[in-house]
Amino acid sequence: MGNQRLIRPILQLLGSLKLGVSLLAVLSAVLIAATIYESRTSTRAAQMLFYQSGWFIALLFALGANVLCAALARYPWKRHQWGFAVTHLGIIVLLMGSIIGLLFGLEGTLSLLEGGAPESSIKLDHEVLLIRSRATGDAIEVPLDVERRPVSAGERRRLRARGLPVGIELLAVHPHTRSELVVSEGGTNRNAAVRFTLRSPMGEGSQPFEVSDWLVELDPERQGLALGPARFRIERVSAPEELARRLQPPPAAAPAGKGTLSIAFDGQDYALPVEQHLGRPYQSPDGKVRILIKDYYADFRMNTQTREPTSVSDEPDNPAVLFELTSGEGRCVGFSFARFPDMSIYKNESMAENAVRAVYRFEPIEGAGSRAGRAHTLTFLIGPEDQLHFVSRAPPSAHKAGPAKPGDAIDLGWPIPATATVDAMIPRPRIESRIVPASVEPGARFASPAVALGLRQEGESVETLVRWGEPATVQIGPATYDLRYGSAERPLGFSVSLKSFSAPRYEGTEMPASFESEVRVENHRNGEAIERKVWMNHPLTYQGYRISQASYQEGAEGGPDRSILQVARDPGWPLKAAGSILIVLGIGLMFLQKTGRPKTQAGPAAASGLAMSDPGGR
Amino acid sequence: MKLHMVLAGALGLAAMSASAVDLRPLESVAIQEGGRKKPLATYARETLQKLAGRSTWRADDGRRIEAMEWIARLMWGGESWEEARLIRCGYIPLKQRLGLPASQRWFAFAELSGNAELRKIVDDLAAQRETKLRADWSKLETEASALFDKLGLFQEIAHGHTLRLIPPPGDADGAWLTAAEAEAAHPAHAEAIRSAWKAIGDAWKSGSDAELAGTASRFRELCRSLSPGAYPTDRELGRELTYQRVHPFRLAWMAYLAAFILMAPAARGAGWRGGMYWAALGLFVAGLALQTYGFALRSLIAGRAPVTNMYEVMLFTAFGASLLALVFELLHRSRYFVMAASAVSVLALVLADNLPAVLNPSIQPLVPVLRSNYWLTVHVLTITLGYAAFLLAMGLGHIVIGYYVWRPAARQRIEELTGFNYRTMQIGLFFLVAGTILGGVWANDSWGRFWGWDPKETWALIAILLYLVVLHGRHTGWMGDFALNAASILSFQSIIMAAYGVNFVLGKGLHSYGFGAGGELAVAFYVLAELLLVAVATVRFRSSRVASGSSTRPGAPAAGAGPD
Repeated sequence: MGNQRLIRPILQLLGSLKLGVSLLAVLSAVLIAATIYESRTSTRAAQMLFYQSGWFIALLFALGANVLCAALARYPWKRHQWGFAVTHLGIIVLLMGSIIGLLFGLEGTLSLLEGGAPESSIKLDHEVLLIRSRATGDAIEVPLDVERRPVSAGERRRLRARGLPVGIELLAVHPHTRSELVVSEGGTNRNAAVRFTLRSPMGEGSQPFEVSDWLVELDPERQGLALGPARFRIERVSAPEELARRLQPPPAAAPAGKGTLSIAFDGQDYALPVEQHLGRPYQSPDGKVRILIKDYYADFRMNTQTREPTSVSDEPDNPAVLFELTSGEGRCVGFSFARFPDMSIYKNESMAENAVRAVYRFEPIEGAGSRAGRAHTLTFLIGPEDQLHFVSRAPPSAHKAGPAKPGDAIDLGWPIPATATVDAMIPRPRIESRIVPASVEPGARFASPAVALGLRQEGESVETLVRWGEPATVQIGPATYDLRYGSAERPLGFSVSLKSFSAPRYEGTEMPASFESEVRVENHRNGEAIERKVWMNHPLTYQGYRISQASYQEGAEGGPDRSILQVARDPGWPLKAAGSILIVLGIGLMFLQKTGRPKTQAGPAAASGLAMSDPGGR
Repeated sequence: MKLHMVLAGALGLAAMSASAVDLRPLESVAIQEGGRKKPLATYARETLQKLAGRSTWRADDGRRIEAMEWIARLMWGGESWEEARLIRCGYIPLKQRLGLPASQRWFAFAELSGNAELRKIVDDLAAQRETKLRADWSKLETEASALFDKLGLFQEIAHGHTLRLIPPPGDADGAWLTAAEAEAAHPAHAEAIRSAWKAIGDAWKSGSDAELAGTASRFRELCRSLSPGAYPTDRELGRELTYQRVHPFRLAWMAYLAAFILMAPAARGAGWRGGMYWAALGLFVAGLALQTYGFALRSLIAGRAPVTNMYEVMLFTAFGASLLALVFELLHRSRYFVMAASAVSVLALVLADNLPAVLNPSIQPLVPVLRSNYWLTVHVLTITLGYAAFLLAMGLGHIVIGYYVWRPAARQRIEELTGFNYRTMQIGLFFLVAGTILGGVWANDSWGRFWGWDPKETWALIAILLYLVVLHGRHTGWMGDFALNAASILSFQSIIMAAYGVNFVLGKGLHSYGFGAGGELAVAFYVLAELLLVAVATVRFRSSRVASGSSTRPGAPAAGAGPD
């Protein structure tokens, strides 16, 4: 009882209504600010600055404490206080459920390919570094937490590598990296590499301009380079006659033509000049194959309104053809693009997949980039004895060609004055790549982030860059470590695979009416397997995990779809549900209690509203 | 706004279309568009609405053309529409950017299609679509994109050949066919379809009502015979046509307006008020009945609860406010509930009726996550009832503030109404809390988490917190009668933010299926007007208190009357 006398005043103070109202007002103001901040920046930023910050959680705690104390301070509750007490306790139960969920819950995603291998772990949305010692096999996962606490310049943040003898420091997080070529003498393969420097007194904004880079004969990514309107290429020419021909200016006014469509089918190759065969069917000599080039698009675009292909101009900026191949086996209709050879689209009827391969070549187009057909080009030709020549062209008909020797400055004869110098030419180079930080180009679709790490063990130290999702290996003295930077993963104890995915559409439209995944769940321990359909608003619950349909990526033309499922385990859920019910019940009670109660007994909770002036009560 | 025009339209006084032929038989030909099958009349209205921003079109010669006549001319008129000023562009900065006259509101396709600047804006948006999300577009970009979409829509329909009027053979859910596609799909009936279609056009040109009726019905029956399972029944088509023709929500606001006009003198307590009161109550109930009828039709047409977009939420909020008011009225016979509810309902319904660009009245398919009738009903209806109660409270707040300004001496009336207002807000809180929690339970099912500080969730919570401040503040002695009523108006702004602002102003978060644009200026104007009203009333209230030398807060409960 003495305790009571001590505790009650404290409860009354902490649970005071004025404190409560003030906290409510402060919380609303904070939340308003948070939503405005979120609309100006991003959801992630608002989560960091507000909802997940310590002070915000403290504010919620303070409110929870106030609600609890307010209820306890009035114990034992009189009849008319039951509504109030139930509501307040409901809030507490709900908050407790949230805390349990936050501490012991798990939330991640499963990305499953239709018909793909089963996945048995989920990806969480925070970044970690995985380290595995080759010697002992010990592996640990270190949370990086860089979104909440960015690494400042010059900082060396120690990461806790518990159980491993290596000291690890996080030095920087690079939002984007590229691999840089390191070319040196001493390789074995014949694979000429040329380093050149391009200089122009008039670059962008009339500033002098200088750039150097490597061209590598056999590296698909380095055979051609694009710099603004200019294109650079390296090519080997094996025959001396061919070399001589290439060094000559092209025949005047070469017909633009419409390129050539090459089709490989049934072991035969067919090369059809488009100009000649457009709209006129081609019949193979044996009469078995008929090819019709149905349409030609100089500058192909998909009209998003009509979903029909069109050509937006007559300039061959994105040439494409629509062809139809008919044979005894069936029919195949397809699009082929000169600029995107990998993007060909086929629609097969009763024909094996990949039965038809089409490549559309459009001569003026070389490499990637726009308006290539009218580009300034500098081509290095490697002759049969590794002799180096250059061919420089520019619209409308500029042409220069000749031998190129390291150190010579070649005047390219372009309308924009420019010279190129060959810095080095290595016929048999050794090529290595090194990852270096790079700036993210505006509008780039993909970035390749990396963490810079410093590792130290027994007096030796190594610094390295580890790219997102790419396994890396580091050697320090005698020890070897495998490193991986990526999303944290958690094993589920069972595996999930996607048997099929479908997104039925609303009649006559492309609007999905539903996303539905047919999944198979296998339990490793007892070998039990179930197959269920998971779709929007219809999750699957398995071993405490709730597996729900989140989103999907539809595969290209007939390819397998990818379904993204959200997987969550929330041990706080029963408390959340109970708290919710209590709150609603409590408010309902409060409302019911106040009707028809005589004014004289008007307890404080009802000292307002109808009790004061209920005309029906009189 | 040209009020007389609105009223004339509303009262059905608009001149009948000058078309010589009665096109009504043609209205019940079915078409598949936008993911569902509908009568041609609905398609005509919606399409004209999309292009011209209104359901009738004023031709260049000043003649008013009804949607059906417009469609008939598209299909059989043989005229060129490229020069017709049909496409609405109302956003002045965009017109300036495109070099168009700012005062002109409708433009011809020919005027817009060659506009290089428009092309450039749209091309830039397309080029950046990987990095710049729709939510990050500027107002100008959004409007430009919408205008470009209209051009595409115009192109698609300009010759009337792209209407999907013919069901495919067999498959009940397949894409319907245009006349040209039908030739290949129904080789046996190609000739019959072509001639039946042409016959309607001939009848229309000949000007014979009977012939048009006969040919239209023959065409419909021919199409139906091609795929009887897929073709909507006469009953379904008729239901939607009735919905369009009767327009119950328009009739409802007229009934509410009449109820309000009659209730105002009745409330003041004139001697003949008895009759007036019952008449007003009768009209009010009629308004509710009309709204119920409208919702029933709409639900049957759409096959779901009518709470899936801003338009429907607006209508349902008005409905809820009126329903609650009727219950209170029957309990307390106060008259003020009906007065407040009819006023706010008229406001909400008139807005919903006249802002088709912002509040889209067409019935559209739902995004997959909303396709759960159970949760739609349970969560959205509950939330919307919360909005409704707060809307009613806001109306009551205005009445009490009116009393404070004009009849501050009516203490008893003020206290009584304040009590009602408190009670109404309590009900609102009950529904809003229940609805928000139910939303959490739904989110747990569809998104896998109960609560995630999504802006829509957060604003629902903000509204809850603000009303909690009001209701708890009553017991701290911080919130007197005047303050409570002023707060019922001010807190309602958080409901506007939760319902409208999150989707239309903030535009972030998971509830993106509800995002839209437009109406910001009107809403900002409303919010400012309310703030100004409360400020002026507060100044008046304070000065009157000082003048009367009162030092206590009138109507506030005695100090220390909080929960003990």
